[in-house]
Amino acid sequence: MTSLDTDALIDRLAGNAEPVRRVRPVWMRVALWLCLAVPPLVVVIAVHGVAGGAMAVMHDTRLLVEQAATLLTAVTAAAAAFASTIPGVDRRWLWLPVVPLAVWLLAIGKGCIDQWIQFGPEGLVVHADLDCFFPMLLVAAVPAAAMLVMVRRGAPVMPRKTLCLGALATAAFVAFGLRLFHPGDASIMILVWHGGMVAVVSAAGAIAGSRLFHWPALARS
Amino acid sequence: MTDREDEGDALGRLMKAAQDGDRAAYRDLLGEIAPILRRVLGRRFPFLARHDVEDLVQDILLSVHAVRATYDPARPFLPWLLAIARNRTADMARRHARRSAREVAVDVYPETYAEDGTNTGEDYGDPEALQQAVKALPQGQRVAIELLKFRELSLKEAAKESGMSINALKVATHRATRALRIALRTRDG
Repeated sequence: MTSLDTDALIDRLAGNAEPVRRVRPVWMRVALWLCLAVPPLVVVIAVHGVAGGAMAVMHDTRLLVEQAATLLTAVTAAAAAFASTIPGVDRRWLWLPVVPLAVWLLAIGKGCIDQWIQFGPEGLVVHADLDCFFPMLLVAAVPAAAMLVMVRRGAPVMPRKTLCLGALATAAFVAFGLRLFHPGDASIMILVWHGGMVAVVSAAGAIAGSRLFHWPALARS
Repeated sequence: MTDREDEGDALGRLMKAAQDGDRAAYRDLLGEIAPILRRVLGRRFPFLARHDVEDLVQDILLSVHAVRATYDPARPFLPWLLAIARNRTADMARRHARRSAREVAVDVYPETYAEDGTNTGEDYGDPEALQQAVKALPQGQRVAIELLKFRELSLKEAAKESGMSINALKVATHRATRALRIALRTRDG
């Protein structure tokens, strides 16, 4: 490679350059993502009906905190995922979801302790509950696809972190939605299934990050 | 305002114009950032050969081109550019490390036996005579030798290219080697 080759490359890139639409500011992208994610949830709630548990949320401070923290985790993780695709961005963006995530997990943990005190070991039995599985897939599909398409508009400067945060945002949003249409569960079920889902999906995002989101292979000549 | 900030602002303005489709501004921008990248890479990796630096500069320019939509004109340009440069350089270092892990660099090629006679290296005797002898081979044997020995293709690749089966290639190579040995021995007398 010589600087002559570089000059030729510059001529070629500039000669073929079309106008580009700038990537929108982070919070605007989060708002757009939520606009895409909410309608399927509304449809599922319309079909399933609002769960009794969702009504209980309004009267139970712990549940209210848990739901607010779940939604805030989704929103801040989405913001961090989008911000992580901007080269040179302040890395403090990546820490944004830590506090709501911690509050969410603490709220679930407190629920588990309360149930342990109230019901003893029986309050902490985990069982499989598959009737919410397909509605959950429906609620997850659109935000997951939208997240992937939207982060790929950015630069893959940290693809694993981006996809991990994107997966966390999607999983938290699904967990928030599930609470609205699925009958209220014991906290241990929420911790195992919702917390487990978030952990597995985020880990999968981190592992698949560089495969799903990488620098485009552009020809040099 | 420092010179560096001035330079960054000017580059940011060029990128803004480039995003809006101004090709002349884009050419100026890429022409301006190439020497900046050479300087930064040269300082950071003084051990890199010139062509490796140029290779990296091109890689970074291609990446800048691919993600130019992510530049926000309200933000400084140089941190944006240098983040891309750091990222692509790290990728290159990873690729290099992976390649190095598979390769072993040696100063002296290993000897099969200690005697000089067995370590002739590139000394094939008379290459002209070898060429003549290969030309004289039957078609199938000549193709097998050319693909497997001269071009060093694998059996699978050679079979695909020649249309011969792997077994036929093995047999043809064996016969060709024997025929060449006899032809060259006869010639050397």
